[in-house]
Parts: sequence; structure tokens; C-alpha cells
Amino acid sequence: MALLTLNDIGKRYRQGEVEVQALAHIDLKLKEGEFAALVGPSGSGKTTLLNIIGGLDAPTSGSAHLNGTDISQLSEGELSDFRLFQLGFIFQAYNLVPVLSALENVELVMVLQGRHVDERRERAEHYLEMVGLKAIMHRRPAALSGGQQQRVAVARALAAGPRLVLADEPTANLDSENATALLDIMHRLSHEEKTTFLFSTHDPRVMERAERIITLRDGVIASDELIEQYHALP
Amino acid sequence: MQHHHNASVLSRLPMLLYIAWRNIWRNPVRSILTISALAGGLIMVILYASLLEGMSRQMVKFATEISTGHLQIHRQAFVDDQDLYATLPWSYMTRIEQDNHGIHVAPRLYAAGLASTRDTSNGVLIKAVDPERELQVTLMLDHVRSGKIEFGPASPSAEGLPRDNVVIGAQLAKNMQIGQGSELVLVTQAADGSIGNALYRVAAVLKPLEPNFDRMGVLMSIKSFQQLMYLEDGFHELAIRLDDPTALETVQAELREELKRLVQQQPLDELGGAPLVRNWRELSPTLADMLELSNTFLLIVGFIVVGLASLGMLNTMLMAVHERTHEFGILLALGMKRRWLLLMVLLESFFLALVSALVGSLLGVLIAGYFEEHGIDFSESMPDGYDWAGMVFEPVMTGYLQPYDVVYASVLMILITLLASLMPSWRTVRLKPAEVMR
Amino acid sequence: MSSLPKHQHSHLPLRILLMLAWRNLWRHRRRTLITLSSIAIGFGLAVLFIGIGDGSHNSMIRNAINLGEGHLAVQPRGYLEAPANHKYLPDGKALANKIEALGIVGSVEPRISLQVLASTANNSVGAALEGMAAAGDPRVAMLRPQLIEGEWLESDDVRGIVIGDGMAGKLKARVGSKVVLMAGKEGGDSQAQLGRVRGIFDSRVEELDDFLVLSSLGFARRFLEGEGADPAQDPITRFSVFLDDPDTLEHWKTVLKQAVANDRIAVLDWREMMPQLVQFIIIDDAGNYVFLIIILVMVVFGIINTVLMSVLERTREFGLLRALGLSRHHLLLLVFCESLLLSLLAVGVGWVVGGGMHLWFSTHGIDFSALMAEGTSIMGTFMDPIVYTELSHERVIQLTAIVFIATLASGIYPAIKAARVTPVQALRT
Repeated sequence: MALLTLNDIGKRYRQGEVEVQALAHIDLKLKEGEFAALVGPSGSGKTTLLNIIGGLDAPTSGSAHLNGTDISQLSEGELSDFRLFQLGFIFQAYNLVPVLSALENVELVMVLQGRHVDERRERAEHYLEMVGLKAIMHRRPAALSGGQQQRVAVARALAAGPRLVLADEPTANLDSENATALLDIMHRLSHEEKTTFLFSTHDPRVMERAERIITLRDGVIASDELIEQYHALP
Repeated sequence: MQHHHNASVLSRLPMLLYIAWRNIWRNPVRSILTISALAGGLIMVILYASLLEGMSRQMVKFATEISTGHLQIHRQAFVDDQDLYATLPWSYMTRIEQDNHGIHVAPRLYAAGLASTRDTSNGVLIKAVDPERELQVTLMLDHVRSGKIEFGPASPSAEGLPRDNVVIGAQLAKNMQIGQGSELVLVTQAADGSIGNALYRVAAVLKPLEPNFDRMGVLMSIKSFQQLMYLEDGFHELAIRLDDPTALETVQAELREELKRLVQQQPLDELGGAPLVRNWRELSPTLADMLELSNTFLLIVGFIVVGLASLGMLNTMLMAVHERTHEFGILLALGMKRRWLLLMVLLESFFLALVSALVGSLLGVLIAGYFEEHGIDFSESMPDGYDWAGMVFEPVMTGYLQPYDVVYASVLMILITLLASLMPSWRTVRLKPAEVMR
Repeated sequence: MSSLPKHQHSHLPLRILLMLAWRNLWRHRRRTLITLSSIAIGFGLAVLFIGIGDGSHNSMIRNAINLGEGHLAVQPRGYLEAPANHKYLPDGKALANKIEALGIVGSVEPRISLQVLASTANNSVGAALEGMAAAGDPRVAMLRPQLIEGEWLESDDVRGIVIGDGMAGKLKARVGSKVVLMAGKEGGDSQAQLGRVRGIFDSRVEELDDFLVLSSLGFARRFLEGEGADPAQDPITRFSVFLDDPDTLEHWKTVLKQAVANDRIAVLDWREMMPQLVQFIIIDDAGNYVFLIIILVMVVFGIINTVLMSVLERTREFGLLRALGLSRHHLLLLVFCESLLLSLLAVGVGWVVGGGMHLWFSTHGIDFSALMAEGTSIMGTFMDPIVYTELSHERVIQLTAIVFIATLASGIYPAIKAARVTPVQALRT
């Protein structure tokens, strides 16, 4: 059974006088444990699609189901809770709350979930260890490099135990070394934790690591291919 | 070299002005917040100034127009001890009236007495006026609460005794529980030492003028006074109103000279002392003190308000400089001189202050104008106005805006805010491009 | 696994909320410090001004009470509305015993007040004759040190009077001069007594120096006898009650009322006795409140400025928090908490500054004598030239509440503004 089902999703919005068709007739199924990349040139609708899946934006037509829940039917407050318990987010940049340390940032979502203090501390430290940042987990974002900040974001997304992690160009602000390192971490965790990842990118080196590549062009799915021979994990 | 340097600053000034102006509107919300705080402060200072000035004018108006006049002439002994015999001859008044143009004079006489009704008695201050002249000088006789101003003989009493009309103060009427038509016996010690005793009819009650008169004042015509007191050779006080109040000092000096001449031509007795000409400020030192004090207070309030507002400015400019550190680094790297950068930040503050000053003065003047027109009306709760520290105020409080108050306040605000922005602008001077660019 | 479990709601413990708010507050340390200092300065000035106002008013009231008719007065009903010489308490002795039995903590002074005309061969002036006990009376204690000529009255002196230097000048009277005091009698007749000046005082309060004639009870009582009173019953005009503790005023007023008030006798407190003074203070206070409001408006401007700016520049962060699952009302709460903490700090710092100023000036005082060259006499009383600031518990609560509420209220708009941020808008940039 599919974890995520998109049914004929369309999105229009007005930009001044012009009506823009951002997305049209998007049909997509994502199975549990998939590590999929959403690729396409900028303006092709990647961010819009991710926002709709994340419940941050509403589609003009069609429906999106995650784990059986119709996202478009949720109220404002339910969406908040939905994001909190079902989804993990990794953004391009400014992922972290600047006044909190790396550890506190990872803990924050679990605090909101109402997890017990011991449990969340344990989980936060565990995932920070997984992303290799346990030694500097008390630093605040300003004292971390861009790559480290993104790794904290990955740890935070996973520590909350989501069904689906959405990452919008997570490597856009990173150099290639940091970008591949981040992707490797995400990939490894996706397998170890059986967590589904959907990330957008236009970086070919990042695409290489995806198991499935969905290509968007002008708001429609141009191709959707499974990469069979994915190279071995390091 | 020096010349070249000056020229370069001047030629770059328009550019700096342009950049500074554009920079303000990069964060319009923040600029508008700052401007509204500064303008709001200025509006409050302007309104405060207008209300204080309005009150001051009311005080002065009351002091001069209602009972005092602009100038008064007395003899020294009357000033010191209200000496009954310290009168000035009537001929002095005639001469002063003849010799001076643009002035109006009203003679007055005073005595103490005991006023009795059937039920009660009260110590009173008898004040005698010449009604026609008085109307030329003060509004005292227009200030009627009840009854009609009448002096001279009234209808005889029930026992057929003759009686004259008098007008009394508001508080006295209340304390003795009398009003228009009531009968009053005045007992006093006349100028010849005998006990004067006569019957009067209350023709009118005046509105509050000044606490002493309100509590004890009995107003009568000079003729009635002379009959009661046997004091006919002169007057105690000459109240003078000027057509042009700005000529106060000149007229005062002229009158002093004239009185000197008059004393030489027509010597006065020894005991009463020399004649004195005093203006309203000298006559009511408390009032003069109060006006002085209100100016001091306005200055204090102005400084506090503008000072607090300029801390807001300090905040804004600190943020503006802080978030543009990188940009300043680039500008420095491009060859911008530090002093131009400093000048640019100062110009930004100046623009903010200037816009605030314009907006604040405009709104302040508009609101103050409204108060000048309409006033704040307390007549519901205080129909007689109120007296405060011996001064009577009208129940309608009106503002009065002096243009130079607006200018002072604006300039003060611009100066203080510029002073406050020195700290943030100084930070630009200490920037090190290499560090900033990292 | 089919649908979203209903019990899954977001939690934001207060501790975390406060921690976030606190840390956000100190993100721009300099800005917060400047805002705090502007509030503290404003608040400190407000405390100082109100303290000076209260201090000078209370000093005026204390002096007015001591120079006047005490905290409480027992006098004929109707005397206040229309004073008259024939309104007196005929049975002073019995009344005195009754009041004594109440055990009032303070002193009870018998007084005789009369409206008279004081005359010498030179002049005559309206005057207020006050017969009173020679010793122990607080008014005597206030005026006796101001004696500039002669001696104070002996208690058995039934001829002597003490007058102010203003009246002495008008009457051209000196120590030893004879002054005729003439009073109206009920029915319209008049009666006169001859007094001899024993002393002249200069209180610098015009209303006293020009009008007051002090005598023993015995001297003043002769006028009451002329009105038909029985001297054996110690007739008087009023008993002035001076309380050791002014805060017990309401208590003793009730007690006195129950004991002696009837259709002929009224018990009045100083507020009722001196309505003009009360009005003066109310108007003066109104001026102080205008000042307080002006300062508050500036303080509120400062806070809105700071909090709103910090909200506006954190749009992206709010978007992130919303995307992570923070609800709108959490965000609203967070920003409101920031304002709350700021106002708590502001009130705290404000009290440190204002309280410090108050402590200093309440012990050292501020000398106003230079500002008021004409003397500090006003409204028939006077202000001590050195004002010690006063701060009552009520004022502390009042000022704290006003500033706290004002600062808190100024956090509402920024909080709403923050809660309106939608994640998509915020993340787009």
C-alpha cells in the first residue's frame, strides 16, 4: 500500500494580472521506505508540490492522502498537528531556531509532541550521533557551519519519528563535499529507520544517490524512473 | 589639498543625501514606527505647550482684564499696610487722564468693615469704584452671577430708612446666605474715627474673581463710600488699562515721571509715602512666579519626552547599522571614506528626525488648533471654573499655540535625536572591512 | 495506522515557552537594554514626580491640619455652610467629657471661632478671632516659634491677643497696642471687646498673617456670653481633634459620629472642612497624571517599537516554527511572553531606578525654596520648602499596575502580527 497518494493535483495562483498554472494533473504514489528525488529546473513546481504534500499550501484541485489521511480536508489546527507527528521538514537554509542549541533544536519538535524529557534527550543525542554532531551538540546555530546546520535539521526531522521527510533543496547552499555527505547520511538513515524521503534538487550529484527520480517540467511530471542499480552504501 | 578635500565632500553630498533618503525607506515599517514615536512625542509637547500657554493667558487675562488692569498706582503706605489715609488727590487722576493717550483709568477706595444680617455677621472688605470708569478698565462689573449691577440709592428699607445698593462676592453671599434684594448693615470705623453705620441693599452677586474678594468683597459706588467713610479727598488705587498692552514698560516709565512732576507741583502729606506705579507682574508676584514655573516645567517635560523618543531613534539606527554591517564593509572595500559613511548614517537620522518634526508639528498644530477653537469644557462639573492657588480659571480650558513653541520643540527634537544617533553612527567608523566581509 | 490519532496534539510546556521567549529577548542585547533603560528612565521619573507631588501635598495637608481645625472637627451643624458667631456648642463641658471618654489617641482641642472687625485708631480690618488653649494646641505649636515680637499668651490671659504681622501693619499695632474687636450679634446688633496685643507672629502664610487674631478661650468666650451662652458650661465653637496616627481617621470619625453627632452637632473630617484644599490637590494631581500619561505613551511607543521590529524581522523563523508544527496560538503566546518578560523586566528595572530615586529623595529631600522665591505659602497653608518624596503602598501598586498593563497591552499587536505569519509566505523568501 502506498504511503503517499497524489490524485490529479493542480495548483494555480495569480501573480499580479497573470494566472500561473504551477502544477497540473500530478498523480503520484510513494511507497514506504522510498528515497525519492524530485528534480527539474527552477520554476518547475518542485517547491509548490512539496508545500502541498506538507500541508503548508492547499492545492486548487485534486487530493493528497498521506497514510490514509486526506490532507486537504484538515483544518488549520489539525494540519499543525499533522505536520508535527507525521512529517519531517528540511529546508534550504535557516532551518534552525537561532536561540536554541543543536540539541535543543532537535528536541524542540519532540517537546511539541509531548514526549517525555528522558526519551527525547536520548533520541536527540542518538540522532545527533548518527549525523556525527554529538560532540558539538551544545553549540548554537551561529557557531555551526552550513553543512552542520543541515545535518542538525536531518537529525531533528528524524528524531520526531515522522512517516515522511520532505526536504526542499537541502543541499542548495552546500559545497559538493558537504552535499554528498549530507545525502549519504539521509540515505543511510532512510534505510536504517525505514523512513520515506522525498527531496527536491537540481544537483546531478545529489540525483545520483536517489533510488527514484521524479522529473517535473512546467508543472507536470515529465518522467518517473526507478534507479535499479543504486551503488552500495559506504 | 584642503580645498580639494572640501570640494569632494560637497560634490558627494547630494549623492549621500540621496542614498540616505533611500536607505530610510528600505525598512519602511521600522522607519514609520520610529517616525510615529518621534512625531507622537512632538505632538504631545506641542499640545502641552499649547495648554500651558492657554492657561497662562487665562491667568494673565483674569489678572489684568477682570480686576487688576495692566498698571496700578498706589501710595507706599497703602501698599505696605493698606493705610486708610494714604490717598492720592483726585486732581492727580484728572491730570493723568488728560496727559496720557491710549490709557483708561479707574479709581478705587478700600476699607474694612463688618457686615451683618439679622442672622450673621462677617468681616468684609469694602471696595468702592466709579462704575463708568471701571467699565472702561476692567470686566469686573460684567462678571455678574445673579442680579443686576446697580449702585447709588435703593428703595428705602421696611422701616423707611434710606439705603444704597452694593454688589457682593460669591463666597460671601454663600457664607452669609444672602443674595439679590437682601439687606445688609455695614459697620466700620470711618476716617474721622467715628463708627460708620449704614444700611445697604444687595443688588447683585459677582462671579468668582479672586479668593479674597469672593470671600469678603462688598462693592459700592465711590459716593456711597464717601458717605460711609468720610474720606473724600482722594482715592487709594488707580487701575489703568492700556489700549496697547505691549507698551507696558514705556507707559509705566512715563507715569513714574509724571507722578514725580505732580508730587513737585502738588506735594503729598508725609505719612502716606510716595506714589508707586506697578505693573500686573509686580502686583501679583505669585502669578509671575507661576508663569515662570510653568515655562520651566514645559522645558523639563519637553526634554523628557524628546529624550525618551530619541532612545527609540537610537534603537532604530543601531539596528539599521547592525544589519548593514556587511553592506558597509562592501562600501568601505569599494573605497568609501569612513567619514562619508558616518555622514550618511547621520543624514539618515536627520531625515528621520526631519520627517518626524514635519509630521509632528503639522498634526500638533492641527490638534492644538482644534483645542484653541473648541477648548475642553468643564462647565458641567465646574460651572464657576475653579480657583487654583488663588487664581480663578474659567471652566473652559482653551489652548494657545505660539508658533515659536513649535519651532523650539522641533529644533530641540532634531538636535537631541541627532545626538542620540551619534552612537550608532560611530560604530561605522570602527568597522574593519576584512572582518566585516567574512 | 489508518487515520490521524485524535489524541495527537502539540504541547508547548510553559518552561520551554518562557525559555524561548527569554532567549529571544536577549538576541539583540543592546536593543533590549536600550528599551529597558528608556522604560526605566520614564518610570523612574514618574515615580519621582508622583513622589514629589504626594510629598508636597501631604506636607501641605499636614500643615493645613495643624494650622487649621485638625483631622476631625466637632462643630455645630450648618456652621461650615454658613459660619456665624451665634452658632456654637453651648454645653462644651459635657461634650468634652463625652469625647474624653472615647479614649482618642491624639489630642482634642477646644476652639472658639468668631468673625470680627479689628480696629485701632488708624484702621480697621476684617479678622477671624480664634480662642484656644494656650499650650498643647498644635496650632500654637506651629505659630509660637514664628513669633517675631512680644510673648505668647498665658492661659489665664483674658485680655491678650496675638496677631500676624500683616494685620499689625494694617492696624499700625505693636506689642501693647489696644485693638477693638467688634462682632455682629444674632439679630443684627454688635458687641465689642478690647484686646491688648501681646505678641506678633510672621507665619509667611498671608491668610494667617492678615486675618488671624488668637486669644485665650476666656477672652473669646465673652462674645459667646454676649450671644447668651452660659459661661459655666464652657461654650465653644468646636473641638478640633488631632490624631497621632492619621490612618485612624475613618475609625475615629465613625466613633465620634456615633458618640456625639446629632441634628445640632456635626463631625467633619479635614477634607470636608477644607474643600478648596482638596480641590487644589485634585487639580494639581490631574496635572501630575497628565505628565504620567505622557511618559507612559512614550514608554508604550518604545515597547511596541522594539517588539514589533523583532517580530517583523523574524518572519522566516516564525514560518519555520509553524512548518514544524507550532500552532498559531503557540506563536501568539510566544511573542506575548516576550512582551510579558520585557514588561516584567521593565517594571523591575523601573522600580530599581524609581525606588532608588525615591529612597534618596525621601531621606535627603529636594529643596524648592529657590524655585519659589515668593515663599511656599499656598491655599492658606504652606509647603515645607524641602520636599521629601512620599510613596504609599497604594501608589506602588497603582504605578506598577499601570506600567505593567501598558507594556503588556503594547505586546498584543505584535503578537497578533506574528501569529498571522503563514509558513509558505515566510519560507518563500
